[in-house]
Amino acid sequence: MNASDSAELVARAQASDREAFDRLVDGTYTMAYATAYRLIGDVDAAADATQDAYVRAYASLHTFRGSSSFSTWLYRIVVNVSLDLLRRRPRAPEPLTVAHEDDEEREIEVVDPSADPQAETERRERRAAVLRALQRVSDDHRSVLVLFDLNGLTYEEIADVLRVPLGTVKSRLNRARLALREAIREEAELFGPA
Amino acid sequence: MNCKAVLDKLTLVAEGELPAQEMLVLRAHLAECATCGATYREVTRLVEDLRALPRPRPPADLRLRIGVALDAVEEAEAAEKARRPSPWETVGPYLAAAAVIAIAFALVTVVSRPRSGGQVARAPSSLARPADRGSITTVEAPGIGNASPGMAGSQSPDERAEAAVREANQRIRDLQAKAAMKGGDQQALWPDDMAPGRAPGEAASGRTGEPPGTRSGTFSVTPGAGGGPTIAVPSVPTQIDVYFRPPEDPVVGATVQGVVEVSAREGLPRVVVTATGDEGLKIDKPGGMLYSGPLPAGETLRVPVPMVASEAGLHEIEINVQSDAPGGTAQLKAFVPNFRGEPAPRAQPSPADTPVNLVFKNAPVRQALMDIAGQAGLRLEMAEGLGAERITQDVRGVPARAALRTVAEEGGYQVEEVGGVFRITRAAPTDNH
Repeated sequence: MNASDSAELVARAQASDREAFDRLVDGTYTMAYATAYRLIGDVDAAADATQDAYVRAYASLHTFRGSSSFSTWLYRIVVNVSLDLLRRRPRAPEPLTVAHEDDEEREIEVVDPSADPQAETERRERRAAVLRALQRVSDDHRSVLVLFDLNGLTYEEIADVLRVPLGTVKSRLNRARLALREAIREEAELFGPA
Repeated sequence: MNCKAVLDKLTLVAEGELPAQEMLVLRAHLAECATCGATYREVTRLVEDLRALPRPRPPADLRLRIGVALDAVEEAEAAEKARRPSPWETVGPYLAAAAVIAIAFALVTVVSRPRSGGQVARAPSSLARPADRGSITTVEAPGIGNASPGMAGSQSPDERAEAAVREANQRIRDLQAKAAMKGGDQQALWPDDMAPGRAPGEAASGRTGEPPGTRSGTFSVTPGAGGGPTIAVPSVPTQIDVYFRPPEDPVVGATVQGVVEVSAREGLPRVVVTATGDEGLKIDKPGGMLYSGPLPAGETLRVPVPMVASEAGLHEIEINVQSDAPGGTAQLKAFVPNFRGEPAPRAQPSPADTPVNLVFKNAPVRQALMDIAGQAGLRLEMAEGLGAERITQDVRGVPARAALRTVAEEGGYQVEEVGGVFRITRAAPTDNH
């Protein structure tokens, strides 16, 4: 869905065209869920947050003025709902399980039969460690890592989503990456080097 | 340049966002300083790892859930627009009681009995709707939930959104229960011969000699009672009594039956009774669905609760009774004590429980059903000439039985499971409750 399609759909949705809003949902819900899941680290809670975000988006669509793109606006809602959910609900000590990662691998990866099995095992362990480390950093740090490094938003878009100045986004991203490095070192102490 | 200044700019270096001259200075430091250089390499490797992570796949039913939630919002907004504020809606309980049109306040109470500790009654709030004349709206236990005591019309957008989410979740449970119901044995829901020595219509309160684990709750909706969220519907005082009898001498691994008894002073056009067990207790009905249908005034509905325990000892069960009013649901938690015996061996999974991995876009129903049956190795029976309707469904990760039902329903068909064969016929018209 490109920007002009999105703008047209938003305009129609604001005029109470439900089908138009459904198309906006179709084009964004996998992204919205992925964001919520990476922020929360729990399949069910991420699905709840995604559903909640769309309900809020739909109920407050009339407040959307088009100063940012629809997806940026939606990101803001998803991030807010997800972080709000995390604040209200204490996180489990080990929120990400290996099973979830296996699910993801089934989703997009094609296993190369010629790959070195040991290298493959190390790669999977490293990935699991990175995901655990991601859940160990603060919500602010995780938000900016998820938006920049996982979702590919620009600094400007992130500033818009998080409602912070551009300079804050850049410095926060730097601190977040350093915090992630610390977290993965702690992971290595707990689980061995990844 | 000191190390801290370099570390502060690691990301700008990695993203190539510094002026050329400054970049040269920083890169020179990273090449010379072993500590900063190692940090830089670790951070850049981590960023590569993050960017290589696969995108998580949404649950198969997420898109459906969002759609149902949006339906609820739409209906709430429509109801809001249609609502005509009345002076009666703002008067207090005493005036309301005297008014011709009653303003119903919802109240849920639980009656404790000896040996009945641990029971909980909970009922989520619902959206206000235009008059559901004659139906009850059971709704909120005082002090539970976050609905405000004001009129629905004074809810903030956030409160309405939250109410819509709760409403949507209830609808999703209804849909799942409805789907499960079609595979269930509805004839078995009226167990006249199951009644353990109790005449129809006998009052649920004041009995003695109840076996351990017996639990009961009384859920009342009383005009003018106050306390919960207010619902502007003309209503009569209504009370639902819920009573659970655990099975006698239950054995691990065998199907044993408890009984839920439900009665109301006023008839209700529809109640839905469901049950869920704890981890070691499985309710032996699809989706835990026990009964869906009318509750005649003054009569006691006795619903068997077939269950299988995998572990000995005490188990917990949750009985959910939902009235026909939106969101009008109440839960009773009870214990099922004294299961004896060894843990049951794991049952062989049925092919119908095998998840399928299919996505249909504008596909003929017949083809979609055949694909699901083919993938799970199920036998399908469908008359010639049926199934030309086109559907769009994502059933990745959905058990084959549920996938068949989902696709069939979407196309206007129903599924009957007879002797291991899945028979597809046109769906009978329903009231679409």
